[in-house]
Amino acid sequence: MELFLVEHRVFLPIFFGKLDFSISDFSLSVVFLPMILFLVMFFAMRKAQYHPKSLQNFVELIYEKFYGIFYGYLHEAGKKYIPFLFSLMLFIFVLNLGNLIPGVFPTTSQPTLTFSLGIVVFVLMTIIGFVSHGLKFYHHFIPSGIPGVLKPILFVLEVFSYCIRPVSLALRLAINMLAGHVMLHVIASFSKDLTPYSAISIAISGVLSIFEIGVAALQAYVFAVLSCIYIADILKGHE
Amino acid sequence: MEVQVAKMIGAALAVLPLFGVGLAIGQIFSTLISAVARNPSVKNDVFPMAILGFALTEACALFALLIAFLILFL
Repeated sequence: MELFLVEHRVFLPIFFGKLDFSISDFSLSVVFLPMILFLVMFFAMRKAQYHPKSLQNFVELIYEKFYGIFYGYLHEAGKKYIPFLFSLMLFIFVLNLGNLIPGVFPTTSQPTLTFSLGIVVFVLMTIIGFVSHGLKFYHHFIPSGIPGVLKPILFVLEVFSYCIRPVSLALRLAINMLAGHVMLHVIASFSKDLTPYSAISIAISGVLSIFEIGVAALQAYVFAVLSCIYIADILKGHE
Repeated sequence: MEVQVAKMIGAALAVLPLFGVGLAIGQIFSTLISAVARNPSVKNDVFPMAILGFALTEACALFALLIAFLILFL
Protein backbone atom coordinates (compact mmCIF):
# COMPACT_ATOMS: atom_id res chain seq x y z
CA MET A 1 0.00 0.00 0.00
CA GLU A 2 2.67 2.55 -0.92
CA LEU A 3 -0.11 4.92 -2.01
CA PHE A 4 -0.89 5.54 1.67
CA LEU A 5 2.68 5.98 2.84
CA VAL A 6 3.74 9.53 3.62
CA GLU A 7 6.88 10.40 1.69
CA HIS A 8 8.13 13.47 3.49
CA ARG A 9 11.50 15.05 4.00
CA VAL A 10 12.49 14.75 7.63
CA PHE A 11 14.47 17.69 8.96
CA LEU A 12 14.80 16.64 12.60
CA PRO A 13 13.93 13.07 13.57
CA ILE A 14 12.30 12.84 17.02
CA PHE A 15 11.05 9.44 18.19
CA PHE A 16 9.37 8.48 21.45
CA GLY A 17 9.42 4.70 21.27
CA LYS A 18 7.51 3.96 18.08
CA LEU A 19 5.70 7.31 17.98
CA ASP A 20 7.00 9.61 15.28
CA PHE A 21 7.21 13.28 16.31
CA SER A 22 9.77 14.21 13.66
CA ILE A 23 9.89 17.75 12.31
CA SER A 24 9.35 17.24 8.60
CA ASP A 25 7.79 19.25 5.78
CA PHE A 26 4.50 17.50 6.62
CA SER A 27 4.43 18.70 10.22
CA LEU A 28 5.76 22.16 9.31
CA SER A 29 2.95 22.51 6.77
CA VAL A 30 0.32 21.41 9.31
CA VAL A 31 1.65 23.80 11.96
CA PHE A 32 2.48 26.94 10.01
CA LEU A 33 -0.47 27.20 7.61
CA PRO A 34 -3.05 27.26 10.45
CA MET A 35 -0.70 29.69 12.22
CA ILE A 36 -1.50 32.22 9.47
CA LEU A 37 -5.19 31.69 10.16
CA PHE A 38 -4.57 32.10 13.88
CA LEU A 39 -2.67 35.36 13.35
CA VAL A 40 -5.42 36.77 11.11
CA MET A 41 -8.07 35.89 13.69
CA PHE A 42 -5.90 37.15 16.56
CA PHE A 43 -5.21 40.55 15.01
CA ALA A 44 -8.82 40.88 13.89
CA MET A 45 -10.28 40.24 17.33
CA ARG A 46 -7.47 41.59 19.55
CA LYS A 47 -9.18 44.92 20.12
CA ALA A 48 -12.76 43.87 19.43
CA GLN A 49 -15.04 46.87 19.22
CA TYR A 50 -18.76 47.30 19.33
CA HIS A 51 -18.60 49.06 15.97
CA PRO A 52 -16.21 46.77 14.06
CA LYS A 53 -13.54 48.17 11.76
CA SER A 54 -12.24 46.65 8.50
CA LEU A 55 -10.59 43.34 9.45
CA GLN A 56 -12.87 42.59 12.40
CA ASN A 57 -15.81 43.36 10.13
CA PHE A 58 -14.55 40.85 7.56
CA VAL A 59 -14.01 38.07 10.09
CA GLU A 60 -17.39 38.64 11.71
CA LEU A 61 -19.09 38.65 8.31
CA ILE A 62 -17.68 35.19 7.51
CA TYR A 63 -18.49 33.85 10.97
CA GLU A 64 -22.07 35.08 10.91
CA LYS A 65 -22.63 33.70 7.41
CA PHE A 66 -21.56 30.19 8.45
CA TYR A 67 -23.18 30.52 11.87
CA GLY A 68 -26.49 30.93 10.03
CA ILE A 69 -25.86 27.87 7.86
CA PHE A 70 -24.86 25.64 10.79
CA TYR A 71 -27.64 26.99 12.99
CA GLY A 72 -30.13 25.95 10.32
CA TYR A 73 -29.12 22.33 10.89
CA LEU A 74 -28.30 22.28 14.60
CA HIS A 75 -30.91 24.70 16.06
CA GLU A 76 -30.73 25.74 19.70
CA ALA A 77 -29.71 22.34 21.09
CA GLY A 78 -26.47 22.06 19.15
CA LYS A 79 -25.51 25.74 19.14
CA LYS A 80 -22.38 25.09 21.21
CA TYR A 81 -20.81 22.91 18.50
CA ILE A 82 -20.80 25.70 15.91
CA PRO A 83 -17.37 27.16 16.88
CA PHE A 84 -15.83 23.69 16.59
CA LEU A 85 -17.34 23.16 13.14
CA PHE A 86 -16.29 26.65 12.03
CA SER A 87 -12.68 26.16 13.12
CA LEU A 88 -12.64 22.69 11.54
CA MET A 89 -13.79 24.21 8.27
CA LEU A 90 -11.25 27.04 8.34
CA PHE A 91 -8.46 24.61 9.28
CA ILE A 92 -9.22 22.40 6.27
CA PHE A 93 -9.68 25.44 4.03
CA VAL A 94 -6.33 26.97 4.96
CA LEU A 95 -4.53 23.65 4.49
CA ASN A 96 -6.26 23.04 1.14
CA LEU A 97 -5.39 26.51 -0.06
CA GLY A 98 -1.82 26.39 1.18
CA ASN A 99 -1.25 23.05 -0.52
CA LEU A 100 -1.82 24.68 -3.91
CA ILE A 101 1.37 26.70 -3.42
CA PRO A 102 4.20 24.91 -5.23
CA GLY A 103 6.73 23.49 -2.78
CA VAL A 104 4.33 23.23 0.16
CA PHE A 105 3.75 19.64 1.21
CA PRO A 106 0.20 18.58 0.20
CA THR A 107 -1.10 17.56 3.60
CA THR A 108 -4.83 17.24 2.94
CA SER A 109 -4.23 14.86 0.05
CA GLN A 110 -2.65 12.44 2.53
CA PRO A 111 -5.14 9.97 4.04
CA THR A 112 -3.15 10.20 7.29
CA LEU A 113 -4.35 13.72 8.03
CA THR A 114 -7.89 13.40 6.73
CA PHE A 115 -8.51 10.14 8.59
CA SER A 116 -7.32 11.82 11.79
CA LEU A 117 -9.88 14.59 11.23
CA GLY A 118 -12.54 11.97 10.45
CA ILE A 119 -11.75 10.12 13.69
CA VAL A 120 -12.03 13.39 15.64
CA VAL A 121 -15.51 13.95 14.20
CA PHE A 122 -16.46 10.31 14.84
CA VAL A 123 -15.38 10.39 18.49
CA LEU A 124 -17.22 13.69 18.96
CA MET A 125 -20.38 12.22 17.42
CA THR A 126 -20.27 9.20 19.73
CA ILE A 127 -19.62 11.30 22.84
CA ILE A 128 -22.50 13.62 21.96
CA GLY A 129 -24.72 10.60 21.44
CA PHE A 130 -23.94 9.09 24.84
CA VAL A 131 -24.09 12.42 26.66
CA SER A 132 -27.39 13.58 25.20
CA HIS A 133 -29.22 10.23 25.09
CA GLY A 134 -27.41 8.15 27.69
CA LEU A 135 -27.65 4.42 27.15
CA LYS A 136 -30.76 4.94 25.02
CA PHE A 137 -28.35 5.95 22.27
CA TYR A 138 -28.92 2.54 20.70
CA HIS A 139 -32.41 3.73 19.66
CA HIS A 140 -30.52 5.77 17.08
CA PHE A 141 -29.66 2.56 15.26
CA ILE A 142 -33.19 1.12 15.19
CA PRO A 143 -35.57 2.97 12.87
CA SER A 144 -39.07 3.14 14.36
CA GLY A 145 -42.10 1.63 12.69
CA ILE A 146 -40.53 -1.55 11.36
CA PRO A 147 -41.56 -5.15 12.11
CA GLY A 148 -39.60 -6.90 14.86
CA VAL A 149 -38.04 -9.52 12.62
CA LEU A 150 -36.15 -6.90 10.60
CA LYS A 151 -34.77 -5.07 13.66
CA PRO A 152 -31.52 -7.07 14.13
CA ILE A 153 -30.66 -6.83 10.43
CA LEU A 154 -31.35 -3.11 10.31
CA PHE A 155 -29.43 -2.59 13.55
CA VAL A 156 -26.32 -4.15 12.00
CA LEU A 157 -26.77 -2.11 8.83
CA GLU A 158 -27.24 1.15 10.74
CA VAL A 159 -24.19 0.52 12.93
CA PHE A 160 -22.17 -0.21 9.80
CA SER A 161 -23.34 2.97 8.09
CA TYR A 162 -22.57 4.91 11.30
CA CYS A 163 -19.02 3.56 11.38
CA ILE A 164 -18.42 4.19 7.68
CA ARG A 165 -19.19 7.92 8.02
CA PRO A 166 -15.70 9.12 9.05
CA VAL A 167 -14.17 6.91 6.36
CA SER A 168 -16.30 8.49 3.65
CA LEU A 169 -15.60 12.00 5.02
CA ALA A 170 -11.86 11.39 5.06
CA LEU A 171 -11.69 9.64 1.69
CA ARG A 172 -13.77 12.34 0.01
CA LEU A 173 -11.45 15.11 1.15
CA ALA A 174 -8.23 13.21 0.43
CA ILE A 175 -9.26 11.95 -2.98
CA ASN A 176 -10.65 15.31 -4.09
CA MET A 177 -7.41 17.07 -3.27
CA LEU A 178 -5.29 14.21 -4.68
CA ALA A 179 -7.25 14.29 -7.94
CA GLY A 180 -6.72 18.04 -8.18
CA HIS A 181 -2.96 17.73 -7.65
CA VAL A 182 -2.67 14.85 -10.14
CA MET A 183 -4.66 16.80 -12.74
CA LEU A 184 -2.46 19.91 -12.32
CA HIS A 185 0.66 17.71 -12.50
CA VAL A 186 -0.48 16.02 -15.73
CA ILE A 187 -1.47 19.28 -17.44
CA ALA A 188 1.72 21.05 -16.35
CA SER A 189 3.93 18.16 -17.47
CA PHE A 190 2.81 18.72 -21.08
CA SER A 191 4.82 21.94 -21.10
CA LYS A 192 8.15 20.57 -19.89
CA ASP A 193 9.72 20.61 -23.38
CA LEU A 194 8.96 24.34 -23.75
CA THR A 195 7.76 24.28 -27.35
CA PRO A 196 5.56 27.20 -28.49
CA TYR A 197 2.52 24.99 -27.87
CA SER A 198 3.34 24.71 -24.19
CA ALA A 199 1.78 28.15 -23.72
CA ILE A 200 -1.57 26.38 -24.09
CA SER A 201 -0.90 23.94 -21.28
CA ILE A 202 0.48 26.71 -19.06
CA ALA A 203 -2.71 28.71 -19.65
CA ILE A 204 -4.89 25.67 -18.93
CA SER A 205 -3.00 24.88 -15.73
CA GLY A 206 -3.44 28.51 -14.66
CA VAL A 207 -7.20 28.25 -15.18
CA LEU A 208 -7.27 24.90 -13.37
CA SER A 209 -5.41 26.40 -10.41
CA ILE A 210 -8.21 28.94 -10.02
CA PHE A 211 -10.71 26.07 -10.27
CA GLU A 212 -8.75 24.24 -7.56
CA ILE A 213 -9.15 27.21 -5.22
CA GLY A 214 -12.90 26.76 -5.61
CA VAL A 215 -12.57 23.03 -4.94
CA ALA A 216 -10.50 23.76 -1.82
CA ALA A 217 -13.23 26.01 -0.42
CA LEU A 218 -15.98 23.60 -1.47
CA GLN A 219 -14.39 20.56 0.14
CA ALA A 220 -13.78 22.39 3.41
CA TYR A 221 -17.43 23.50 3.39
CA VAL A 222 -18.65 19.99 2.57
CA PHE A 223 -16.56 18.40 5.34
CA ALA A 224 -17.91 20.84 7.92
CA VAL A 225 -21.52 20.69 6.73
CA LEU A 226 -21.55 16.89 6.66
CA SER A 227 -20.09 16.76 10.18
CA CYS A 228 -22.78 19.26 11.15
CA ILE A 229 -25.53 17.10 9.61
CA TYR A 230 -24.21 13.99 11.39
CA ILE A 231 -24.13 15.81 14.74
CA ALA A 232 -27.64 17.22 14.17
CA ASP A 233 -28.84 13.72 13.27
CA ILE A 234 -27.55 12.35 16.57
CA LEU A 235 -28.89 15.23 18.66
CA LYS A 236 -32.33 14.79 17.16
CA GLY A 237 -32.50 11.04 17.81
CA HIS A 238 -34.17 8.65 15.44
CA GLU A 239 -37.83 9.24 14.76
CA MET B 1 -2.54 -10.94 -22.08
CA GLU B 2 0.17 -9.18 -20.17
CA VAL B 3 -0.53 -8.02 -16.65
CA GLN B 4 0.21 -4.38 -17.44
CA VAL B 5 -2.30 -4.34 -20.30
CA ALA B 6 -4.94 -6.01 -18.14
CA LYS B 7 -4.32 -3.41 -15.42
CA MET B 8 -4.84 -0.58 -17.89
CA ILE B 9 -8.09 -2.10 -19.18
CA GLY B 10 -9.21 -2.60 -15.59
CA ALA B 11 -8.45 1.03 -14.76
CA ALA B 12 -10.40 2.16 -17.81
CA LEU B 13 -13.36 0.03 -16.72
CA ALA B 14 -13.10 1.42 -13.19
CA VAL B 15 -13.82 4.96 -14.33
CA LEU B 16 -17.01 3.94 -16.19
CA PRO B 17 -19.16 5.26 -13.27
CA LEU B 18 -18.32 8.72 -14.62
CA PHE B 19 -21.25 8.11 -16.99
CA GLY B 20 -23.74 8.03 -14.14
CA VAL B 21 -22.01 10.82 -12.26
CA GLY B 22 -22.16 13.07 -15.30
CA LEU B 23 -25.88 12.43 -15.65
CA ALA B 24 -26.38 13.09 -11.94
CA ILE B 25 -24.49 16.38 -11.89
CA GLY B 26 -26.45 17.55 -14.92
CA GLN B 27 -29.66 16.56 -13.15
CA ILE B 28 -28.68 18.47 -9.99
CA PHE B 29 -27.96 21.69 -11.83
CA SER B 30 -30.93 21.45 -14.17
CA THR B 31 -33.16 21.04 -11.11
CA LEU B 32 -31.44 23.99 -9.46
CA ILE B 33 -31.97 26.17 -12.53
CA SER B 34 -35.61 25.25 -12.88
CA ALA B 35 -36.22 25.78 -9.16
CA VAL B 36 -34.62 29.23 -9.24
CA ALA B 37 -36.41 30.09 -12.48
CA ARG B 38 -39.78 29.23 -10.94
CA ASN B 39 -39.13 31.06 -7.69
CA PRO B 40 -36.07 33.37 -7.73
CA SER B 41 -36.49 34.33 -4.07
CA VAL B 42 -35.58 30.78 -2.98
CA LYS B 43 -32.10 30.97 -4.53
CA ASN B 44 -30.15 31.57 -1.31
CA ASP B 45 -31.81 28.58 0.35
CA VAL B 46 -31.42 26.15 -2.52
CA PHE B 47 -27.91 26.97 -3.69
CA PRO B 48 -25.98 25.49 -0.69
CA MET B 49 -28.04 22.31 -0.98
CA ALA B 50 -27.19 22.06 -4.67
CA ILE B 51 -23.51 22.58 -3.95
CA LEU B 52 -23.65 19.90 -1.24
CA GLY B 53 -25.34 17.47 -3.62
CA PHE B 54 -22.80 18.31 -6.29
CA ALA B 55 -19.90 17.60 -3.94
CA LEU B 56 -21.43 14.32 -2.76
CA THR B 57 -21.98 13.20 -6.35
CA GLU B 58 -18.53 14.27 -7.41
CA ALA B 59 -17.11 12.22 -4.55
CA CYS B 60 -18.59 9.10 -6.18
CA ALA B 61 -16.63 9.85 -9.34
CA LEU B 62 -13.50 10.35 -7.27
CA PHE B 63 -14.00 7.04 -5.46
CA ALA B 64 -14.01 5.43 -8.90
CA LEU B 65 -10.84 7.36 -9.68
CA LEU B 66 -9.33 6.04 -6.43
CA ILE B 67 -10.04 2.48 -7.56
CA ALA B 68 -8.41 3.25 -10.90
CA PHE B 69 -5.32 4.58 -9.09
CA LEU B 70 -5.24 1.52 -6.84
CA ILE B 71 -5.36 -0.76 -9.89
CA LEU B 72 -2.71 1.17 -11.78
CA PHE B 73 -0.15 1.95 -9.10
CA LEU B 74 -0.44 -0.91 -6.59
